Amino acid sequence: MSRPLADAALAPVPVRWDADRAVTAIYSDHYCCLVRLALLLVRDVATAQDVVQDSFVAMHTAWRRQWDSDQALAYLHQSVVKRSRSAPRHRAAIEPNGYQPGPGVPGAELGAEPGAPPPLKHTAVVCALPTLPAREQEAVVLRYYGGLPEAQVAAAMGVSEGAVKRHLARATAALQMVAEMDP
Amino acid sequence: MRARGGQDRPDTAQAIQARRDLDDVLRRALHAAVDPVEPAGDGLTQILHRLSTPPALRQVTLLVTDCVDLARLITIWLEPAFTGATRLGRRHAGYRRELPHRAIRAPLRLAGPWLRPALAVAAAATLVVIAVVVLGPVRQIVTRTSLNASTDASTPGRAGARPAGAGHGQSATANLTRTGPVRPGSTSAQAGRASHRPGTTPAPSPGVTPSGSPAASPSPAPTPSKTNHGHHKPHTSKTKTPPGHK
Repeated sequence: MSRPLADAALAPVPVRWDADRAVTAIYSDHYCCLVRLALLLVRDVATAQDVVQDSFVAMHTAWRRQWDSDQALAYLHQSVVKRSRSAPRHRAAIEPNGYQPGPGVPGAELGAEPGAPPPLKHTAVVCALPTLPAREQEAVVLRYYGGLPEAQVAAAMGVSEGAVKRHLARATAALQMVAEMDP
Repeated sequence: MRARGGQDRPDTAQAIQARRDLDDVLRRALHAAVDPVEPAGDGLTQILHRLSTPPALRQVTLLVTDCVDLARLITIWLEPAFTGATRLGRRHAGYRRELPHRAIRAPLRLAGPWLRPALAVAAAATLVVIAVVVLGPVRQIVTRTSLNASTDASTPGRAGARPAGAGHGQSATANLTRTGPVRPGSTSAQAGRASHRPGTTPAPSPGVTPSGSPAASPSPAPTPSKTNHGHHKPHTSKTKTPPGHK
């Protein structure tokens, strides 16, 4: 089990760092975790990588505003969540047969092309995750995979903390039923 | 009351424990699901490649990609219309008894396969032309903005090297705009200071003249534009109503 994003403490990025050095440093510590987080939201490795790379590019562009690692990471979380929302919409629009989500739907495998990463383990909870509303999925992924506190989840999602609590309560109630039904 | 409260406590504790268990299950399930996934190792290379690509080129590439997608969508949306039109044409052709049946249907068959790609290409070309027409002025604006920014960025060394009371850090462009209307005998404060300085001649554009000591500038490069812009506005307003014209 990899360490949660929140626990992966970075050495504070000095103010004098330029954007290139900051991107390199944050990439080495957080890229994999961010791709996996995006993977839980978009359910496609290539799209998840695109989303995270775009977020890094955006962070590089906006680096003047990002003065420390915490703010940079918060910006990345927010950017990944926003881009994960729009990426499936874009794919659903351009794919003639409609967007087919990967894991979560039984039988659908992650990464159909050769040399792709191994498929997700379809536990009952992970299978049930895509059935939740999008905001509840985001809250669950950021809270339980990212290990972020509710305030940071709210900041990443662009909603209030109360809304995050509500989303989490509904999502956990739904997932609890699934977990109890699973032998 | 106490007995009831005593009964409630275990339930609450059980609920809390169940909640913690569920949290634990969720964490484990999510980590077990995606932790085996290793992203491609060239992520940083791709990020740097995207960063090294000029933004305009990147935007154009994205625009072309979106145009192609849009053309595909339009083709897909219009497919039922094409099919309907083809059927209608066939029906209409069926009523024409005077012409041979095959002679009427042949052009439709020939037009069918060509029509869709041709329309898609035409739509894509139209969108690209529109994008180019729109991007042209935008590019000019960006070029002008970058030129202005570079002019401003080249100023702070000079502005900082000036004597403390001379210009309040205004940019060379501000100086140019100010010194333009100033005549040798004007009552402008700037002109007065210039004339009072020993060894200086009333040059037509003192702001453009490079100052002698770049080491004298106390402020380094990082925040030149903010300082310049901050002091730029009052001087431009002075330019509009110079004291000499009152």
